[in-house]
Amino acid sequence: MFDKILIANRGEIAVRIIRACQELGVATVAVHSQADREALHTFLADQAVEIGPPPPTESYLDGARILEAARRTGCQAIHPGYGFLAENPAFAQAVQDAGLVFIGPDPEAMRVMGSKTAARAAMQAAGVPVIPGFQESQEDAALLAAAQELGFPVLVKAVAGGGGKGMRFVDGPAELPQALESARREAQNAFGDPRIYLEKALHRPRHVEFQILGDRQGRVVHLFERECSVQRRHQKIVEETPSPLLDQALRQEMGQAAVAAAQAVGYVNAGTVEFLVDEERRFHFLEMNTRLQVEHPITEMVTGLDLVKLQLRIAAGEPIPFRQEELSQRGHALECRIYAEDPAQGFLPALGRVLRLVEPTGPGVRVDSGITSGDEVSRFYDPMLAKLIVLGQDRAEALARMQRALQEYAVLGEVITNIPFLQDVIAHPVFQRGEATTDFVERHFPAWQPPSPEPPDEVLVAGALAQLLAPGVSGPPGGATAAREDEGDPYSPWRRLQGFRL
Amino acid sequence: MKFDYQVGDQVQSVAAEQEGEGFRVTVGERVYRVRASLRPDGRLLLEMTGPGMANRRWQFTVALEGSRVHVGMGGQSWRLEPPRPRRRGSRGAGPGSGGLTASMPGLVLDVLVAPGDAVKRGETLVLLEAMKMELRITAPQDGVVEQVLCQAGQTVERGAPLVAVRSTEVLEEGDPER
Repeated sequence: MFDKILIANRGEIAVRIIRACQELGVATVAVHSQADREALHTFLADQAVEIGPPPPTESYLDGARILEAARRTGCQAIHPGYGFLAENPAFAQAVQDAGLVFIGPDPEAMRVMGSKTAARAAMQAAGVPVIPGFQESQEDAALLAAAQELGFPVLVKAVAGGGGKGMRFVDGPAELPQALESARREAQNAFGDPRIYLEKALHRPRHVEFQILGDRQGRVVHLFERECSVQRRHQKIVEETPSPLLDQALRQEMGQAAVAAAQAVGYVNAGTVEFLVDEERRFHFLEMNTRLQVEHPITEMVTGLDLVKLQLRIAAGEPIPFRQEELSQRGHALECRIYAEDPAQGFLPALGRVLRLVEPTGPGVRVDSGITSGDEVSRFYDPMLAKLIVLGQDRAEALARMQRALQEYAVLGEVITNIPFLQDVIAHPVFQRGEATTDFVERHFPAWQPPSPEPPDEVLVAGALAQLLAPGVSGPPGGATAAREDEGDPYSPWRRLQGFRL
Repeated sequence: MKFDYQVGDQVQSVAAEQEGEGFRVTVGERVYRVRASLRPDGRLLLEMTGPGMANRRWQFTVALEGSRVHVGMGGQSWRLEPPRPRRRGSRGAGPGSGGLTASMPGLVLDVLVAPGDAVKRGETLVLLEAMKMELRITAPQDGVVEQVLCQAGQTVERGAPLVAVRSTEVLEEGDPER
């Protein structure tokens, strides 16, 4: 095992990795931009190195600076987390060339899977079913002809894509030219590569992915599925495992396909093979994510494994310490992604300072968070604040537990979060029945509004009494208020007991 | 003590005074008898009796920020602010009634109009990129571009004016903006 590694990321995933390292006795080096000097991951690591200004291109995406930080601090390996440089084969190669270990797959496997079109070709060769598509030309005329042959609606997707960026849903031929133009521009901006391809848009598919692990000894296993059909703007917001859709036969078949997909590219370390399942329960390869996934905790909850520790062990050359037959799913896990965004305004990021943060606790509740009270949610980075994960003995208990935990969550300040929206998603009868498809959010929540946009009386009373009981906010309270004594101590028992007898 | 909060278009007054071991709190015309406990971590427990509730317990998380107070309950949160000063008269010339602002901070990718251009409702005026997503800022109504207040490549903050458009649609009588 390594003595010391660098975590080339920020936010909740950096915190998650640091925690695994602490438990393994591995020293940690955090990197941070100037905007993240006081961020949680910077606090928790054994060492922290500032690597540049807030824009990611000058900090978290600057591989040379990160490598330099790793060398200077004497790290043996680099964990990239997800996003940023996690799926950048040039960076993985540079890490290897510098004599360090990249905690992830080899650059070649990343290269194949990073090109969505090369991945499709590799999967077809390995006998894994792919979605009908067209990737033979970048010419508008050829793309139009291909779209007509596939049959509308089609999806325009970025060859270098991921995370829904550079992706457009096209209903008919008239919309195609503008979709191509804006998808190319978005792809160019996001990935530096404007190439696109077409896929037939499946009707109301479900997103079911398989976690896989491969080691240097050549063993590949899958750690079962995660269903992530609840998405907004092609990004997942709620994930669960087991999938309510799969039966044991389909699970086994898809698991084997996922293992075959990983073996086809000689995959080592943790990865995820994503499938869409159509209305006839046929599954199609969507893409492979060559990294630790945001939603990995639900797999950890039902398998009892620690994926980050396994990643470190595999990267250090150790074999996977179990066989496929030894694995099973126990209970039911759900994850909700807590975003600083306003679901009532098209899910636009709603940034600002978090004045007070109260995270849920209690049996079966896990919060993977990257923020603390007082943090500024910066426009430079992804607006995901935290992940709320619950484990129940069955799906019904997990659903009830998630609702209970969401009710306990408080994120106060200028930020707006999607918590009330997530509550309505979990409560929705279609989700409760386990029947959500990837168009669930747009179909069932076309004009969502928070349940009480205007404060009810009890909230107004709470606001007024909070201002009354805490001093120095609206000037000295006059008359018969609670604030006559203990001026310097807003929380003295005297003051508190004035208002409430326990 | 009286607290005024801006709620939508209206001002909601909350008056609280001590009464015995608790408070008598009036919201508009409704009177509540309230017992309260505020903890240093921002937890606020109320026990309220009044219209529609008898000894009802409510748990909140609160945070104070200058003259504002943030209240969280059951996963939802509200920001209570003092009343906004009422605008008097017209908002003058310049990027006013038809001013289009950045709905989120981001990078101006392209400006597709110039001053003097006639634009149709829904026409794209500015392409904005934020969080690596492309947003189209479109004309809310037919009009004429009066001013372009941003340029391609510029980083803008949320609320920054981008384009001023003078409406050429017929305004209804009594439109408060006129």
